[in-house]
Amino acid sequence: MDVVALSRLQFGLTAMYHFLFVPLTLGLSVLLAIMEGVYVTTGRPVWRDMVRFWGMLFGINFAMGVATGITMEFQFGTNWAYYAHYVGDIFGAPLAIEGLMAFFLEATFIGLFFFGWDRLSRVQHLLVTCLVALGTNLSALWILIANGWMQYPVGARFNLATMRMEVTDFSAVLLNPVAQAKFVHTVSAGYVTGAMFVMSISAWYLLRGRNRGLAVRSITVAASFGLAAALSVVVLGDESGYTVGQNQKMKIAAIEAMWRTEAAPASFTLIGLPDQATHVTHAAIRIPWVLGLIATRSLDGRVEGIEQLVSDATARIRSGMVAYAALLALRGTPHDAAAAAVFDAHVGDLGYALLLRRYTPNVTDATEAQIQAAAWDTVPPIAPLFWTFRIMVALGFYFIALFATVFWQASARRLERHRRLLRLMLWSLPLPWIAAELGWYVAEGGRQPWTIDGVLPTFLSASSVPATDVVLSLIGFVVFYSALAAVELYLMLRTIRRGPEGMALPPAASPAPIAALRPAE
Amino acid sequence: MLRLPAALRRDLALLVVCKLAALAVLYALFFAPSHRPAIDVAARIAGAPANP
Repeated sequence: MDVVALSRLQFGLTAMYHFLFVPLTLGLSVLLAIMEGVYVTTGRPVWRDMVRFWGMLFGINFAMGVATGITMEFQFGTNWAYYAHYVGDIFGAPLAIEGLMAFFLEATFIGLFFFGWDRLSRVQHLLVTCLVALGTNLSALWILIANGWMQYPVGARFNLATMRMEVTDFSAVLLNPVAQAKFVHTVSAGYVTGAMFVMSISAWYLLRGRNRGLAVRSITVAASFGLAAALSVVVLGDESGYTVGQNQKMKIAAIEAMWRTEAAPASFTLIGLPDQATHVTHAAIRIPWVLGLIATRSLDGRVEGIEQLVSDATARIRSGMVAYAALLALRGTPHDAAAAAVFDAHVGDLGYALLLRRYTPNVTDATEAQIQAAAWDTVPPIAPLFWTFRIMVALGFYFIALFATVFWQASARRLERHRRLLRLMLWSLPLPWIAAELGWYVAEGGRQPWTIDGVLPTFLSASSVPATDVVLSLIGFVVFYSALAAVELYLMLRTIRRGPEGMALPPAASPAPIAALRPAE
Repeated sequence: MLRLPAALRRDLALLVVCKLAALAVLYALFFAPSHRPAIDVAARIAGAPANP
């Protein structure tokens, strides 16, 4: 494997590992705020015990999320130095804001959450918990603004003098429709994960006949919250699909294995066996109109097929070659007005010309075969995208059904009679993580061959480092992260096994008045 | 009701100052311009040295 493939493997592994912790942090933080809100409203100590118990699990998970997230930010410098330099002025800003907010807002309030029980009034502590939830969600917002810009680079332009992309409109970067759609879809998926976690662990308690008070209340909160979140995931996923259909046409065509443009409205392929070599989806089961309605929200909007999009990419490569030639001319004679005008007219396609660097160092002299090869490089691997997307969507509908069933049974106070349902809740524990990881594969795998869609190819983004360096750091990550996973599992399982009674909480039957919880100054 | 105890306010202020100091030290040790490697983007993008 070359440096690019190894760097992609390393970033993919660390990102997917990091995202084992992020959705649980997002979901649990909001659930903690809800539970503590009930505690402050009712004054019933069982709700405080619930917040402290689930809060302990949240803390273990949060620490792991921080530890695994920091390494990813460093990889932009170590493994993706050209990427960092080329677009760092844009991409770096939201990352820096996220880091500073996490460092000053999130971390501070998490400290107060754990150590402020005896130093803050109930309302103050609730406020702290709400700020923890807000902080974790804001962190996700900044990261997804950065990621959304990679998918749909707006508010930036190529600066000829510095040979890099620079911000022209930061509000456009912040309000990027792709980023906003990704943000709400991703945090909703996090809420589903948090709800499933609380529900599954509580189901385990009920199956073992222990901690009934905590478990039943937790399931009721988690099922109602999870149902709302699962419905949101599907609805917001549709919105995300629409923005992809508008801005990343190749990604939507790849997800749907849509080889050729159909008459509007396009049909949706429910299942099938895409064959990238022959451009055929074998044994396809199609539902008329559905893709056209999802991707264009109209009956006459066209969803372009892969072959049409490759043809479009060919034209953009040719246009990019003109920009590239003008760029070379301007580097020789910076005040050449004619070359500057040509460059400005074609600079939007410069990234497409860079695809040719894989085949020739002399982009302006590329052959027809090289242009065709580069154009077909814009097609990501179809079958993995096709299947991961469908499994993710199927899981989304399963979550709605499960949360609705559990909420119905919990509302009717019949939960403990249905041991099969309790077991189903327990076995469903890993599914939100699987769905989230598949979703990230669809988002990032579907962006290939670009790091910045249409601007910078992935193979040009990696650092000039020896492959052995990447192999060694990759081995280090695998070993270190495996150890961290073992520690996480041990701490989580130990805390769950012990339950709230193992946490040396204050006596449950002594709800202190708000004034008594306030420390003397 | 939302006024934090004086001791807690003092602790939080100290914490923020310590964090700022830690950031400054990290910047000086690892991220100051003198620590940044030279990256020839022009060579990567345009196939020619940045300063021919």
